[in-house]
Amino acid sequence: MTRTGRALLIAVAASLAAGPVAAQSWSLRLNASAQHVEFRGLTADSIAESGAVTSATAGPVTPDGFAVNCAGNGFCYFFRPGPVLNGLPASAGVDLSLWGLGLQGLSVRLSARGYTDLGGDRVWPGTSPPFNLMEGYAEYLRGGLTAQLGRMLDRGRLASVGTSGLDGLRATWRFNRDALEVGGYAGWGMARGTILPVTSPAVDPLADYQPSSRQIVVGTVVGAHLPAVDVQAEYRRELDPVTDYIVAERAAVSLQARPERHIRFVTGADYDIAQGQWGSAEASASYSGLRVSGTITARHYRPFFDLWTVWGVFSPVPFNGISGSIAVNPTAKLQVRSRAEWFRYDAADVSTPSVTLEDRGWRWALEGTLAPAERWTVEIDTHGELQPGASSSGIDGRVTWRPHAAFDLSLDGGNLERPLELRFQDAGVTYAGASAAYRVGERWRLDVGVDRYWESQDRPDAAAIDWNQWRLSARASLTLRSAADRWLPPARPAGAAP
Amino acid sequence: MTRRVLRGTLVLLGSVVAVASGVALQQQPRFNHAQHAKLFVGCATCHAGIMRSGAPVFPPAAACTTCHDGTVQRRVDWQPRAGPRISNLRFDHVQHAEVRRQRGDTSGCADCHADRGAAWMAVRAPTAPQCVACHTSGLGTHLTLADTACATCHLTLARAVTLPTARIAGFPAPPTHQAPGFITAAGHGAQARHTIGGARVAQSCATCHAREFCVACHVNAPELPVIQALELDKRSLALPHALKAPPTHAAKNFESQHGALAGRTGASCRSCHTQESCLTCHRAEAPTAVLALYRAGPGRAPGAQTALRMPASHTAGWKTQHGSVAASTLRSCTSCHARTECLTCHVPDPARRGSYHPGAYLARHPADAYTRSSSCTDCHNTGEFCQTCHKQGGLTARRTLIGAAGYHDGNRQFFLGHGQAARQALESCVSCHVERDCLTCHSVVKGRSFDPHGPGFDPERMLRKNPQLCIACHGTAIPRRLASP
Repeated sequence: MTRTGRALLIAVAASLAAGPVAAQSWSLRLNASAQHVEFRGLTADSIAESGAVTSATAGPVTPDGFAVNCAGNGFCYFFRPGPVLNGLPASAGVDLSLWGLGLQGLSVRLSARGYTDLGGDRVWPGTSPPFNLMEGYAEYLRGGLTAQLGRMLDRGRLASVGTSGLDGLRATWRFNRDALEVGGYAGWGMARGTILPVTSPAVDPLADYQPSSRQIVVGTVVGAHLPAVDVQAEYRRELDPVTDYIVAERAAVSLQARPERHIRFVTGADYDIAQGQWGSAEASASYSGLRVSGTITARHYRPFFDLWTVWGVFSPVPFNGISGSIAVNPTAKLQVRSRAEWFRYDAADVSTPSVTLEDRGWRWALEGTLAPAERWTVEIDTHGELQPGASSSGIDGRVTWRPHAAFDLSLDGGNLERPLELRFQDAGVTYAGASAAYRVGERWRLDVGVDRYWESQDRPDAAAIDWNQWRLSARASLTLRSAADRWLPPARPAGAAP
Repeated sequence: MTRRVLRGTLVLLGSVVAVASGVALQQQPRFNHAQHAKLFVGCATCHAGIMRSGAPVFPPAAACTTCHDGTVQRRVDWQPRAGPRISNLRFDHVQHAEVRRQRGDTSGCADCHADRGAAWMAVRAPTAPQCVACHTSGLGTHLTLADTACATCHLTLARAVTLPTARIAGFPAPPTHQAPGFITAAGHGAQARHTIGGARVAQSCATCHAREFCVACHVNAPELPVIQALELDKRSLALPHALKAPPTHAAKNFESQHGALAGRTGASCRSCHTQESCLTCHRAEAPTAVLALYRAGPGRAPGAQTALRMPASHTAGWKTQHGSVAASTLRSCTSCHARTECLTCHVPDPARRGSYHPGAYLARHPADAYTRSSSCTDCHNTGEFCQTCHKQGGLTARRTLIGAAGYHDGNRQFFLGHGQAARQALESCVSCHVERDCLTCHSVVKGRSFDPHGPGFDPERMLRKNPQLCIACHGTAIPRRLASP
């Protein structure tokens, strides 16, 4: 747990103790999850080049049949199947909201999780650090002003919900009947895609270069929300507090227009000011009718890297794609969906005389959902990805039975074929599983699941590993709240006129 | 008493009986006045109480036996009405007669209780138009008179204690109540407020309505003086009442615009909606307008019942499309979705069976990740998630591609042509490789000086923004073309 996290927890605890308990209302959700996974990886090995033999199908191999890659330095390298590792990742989470703290408009929100691996091997990602405060902030609403202080998730195009967090202050002011909003934030940022600071050992498992201090983040958001149009512009700058150099500087705009009830245009783009190039962008047009809905999208994707890594100077090239999706409800009990995307990378501007790589690809999916009877749902999904690097194709199915509103039972299964462009193998996975969910009143929800995987690897040497495994999972969730005030702060103090 | 007066009085009495009670008259034999026309010469003979306070309004049953003794005439079981008059009229025969007498008005009972020119004792109940014809001549008909005029002739509903519920249920609605905007605050609300000031509202609206009627729909009933001024009477619920959506709610874009409407006219929302009405949909974050509503409680209507509907935008592919929409109007999302719902997918729980990705996704993820079917880094940190797992799987690099263990064994010369793959899928590369792997060759100071910069690289800008990055590979000897302004 970080120093900032501890400080926030203390602040939250202090506010709880100081608040007028008689006026408090609260909502509390506790959950606990665990699953059992088996994991089998690879173990790097080598032999002397003189020890390699030539096989009929796999070129140079070890005497026991593993294909090797000889480096010309007297050694040949290869992978052996690793040991089977058993993981039992478990988590416990708490989501708490408090309001009625004696000041109208003040509330406190807290969301935290603890992790462990009951199996001890920590084979599964995400189980470290053992405690993570995802959100912990006080919020104050007054008129058009919303102010938040503490640890909160970033929001907006430059930091989609959940991608990262902010330890600091955010304030938004809405005016002109909420049609316009202006906001800003400042604080210490997090690593991309997680609620952990960049200084956390958990985000650097390979002991790469890691900043010694967290970046300082400042940003501003301006938005207009008109009857048929929403538009939001953002600017965000991240600084290394030690050197005062830019870690990231970006701007973005997002727009949504609804000229008609069933039609929606959405577009957005971000610009990397620090590197002087456009980032990702997309534009889509959607129609949503009672029986038919569809979307056409044009997409430009370029990965983004902070400037405390060198990856950005390797000039990753973007791809441009166009996609479409359609969903048709021929009857009330049947929905058929289809989607496809074609994309092509920009020229990489490198010479690869000995390696020919694809620079374009496409992916598609055809799905259907059928409700043959009131309590039954059948879902089928077949898909294909034919593209550079890794292709796949497969089919998945699920049957769900809901004997009553509180209980679901699902059986699912599928098959996946996975040819890899850069690997010396084709792999296939077949799986089957079952899951059940039971809701006990408004408070309890219980989920259990079991899955079985069978993998087959098609390669002409001995490196085809047995990856077959069982997976078990269980989850329990308990929701509590103050009896008088359900989910929300009261409209006014008890007994007082508004 | 002249014969004419007597006849009029008699007709008047008969009419009073007829008007006074439908139910009561149905339950007891009615006296056939016309059949007895030859026996009576005046109304007051039997209905003395009409003209004189304290006297009985109806004759005793024994008076009938004078003739109906079983010998002269068959016996009858007629009984005089017991109890008060069944009516909501303020009308008092004695006062009415006295006022008319003082004005020199010599008209008798038949003026109201018989048609003009009708035979003696051909009586009937007087009608409202008859009252209106004399008292408000030229101002309209009974139901088209100003709503404030009701109290002129009528008691409030709560005080008309003799009226049975069935009669109340049959009250005719004035034409004003049928006007298109009458249901709105600008309609009946304004009309009720116009009559506020104490007695008038109680005497006008209260002619047909009591507080329970208003509370059936009005959530804000306790806060409205005009409703609180009404008396309590459950019989008022006999009148048809139903909460109807105002015309604004029928607009095509009402669903998407009701938030702005509530912000402008929140007071109107409070009339029909409790906080609980809105919580059906606004489950996560209550907009300010919702907080301004009253909570359900005693003395209030339960509030309009709403149903949670998925917006039209949430089509089948919404799971992968919602990001762009959320970026432009996240506040709309938080109307229905709690933050914890977002966390479920965006902050993956390693101990939870997958919900966002389909089954067997561990085997499927290379295809999606390599070409970013969706943006993996929205939810996964490359180091914490990808590298941790790949490290466990033995999929970590060894400084240089030359002579590496051969993970890219699909082409044994991969290291010579990895540039295109790297630039196309650098995010995938860094899920196994670290910076020092690449700098082994691509660094000037630590490697073999292979230039990694490609299309779009702006060295001058990079140097301005973060020279530390340049120093990492070039040391302090940054090429002059980079250092030049």
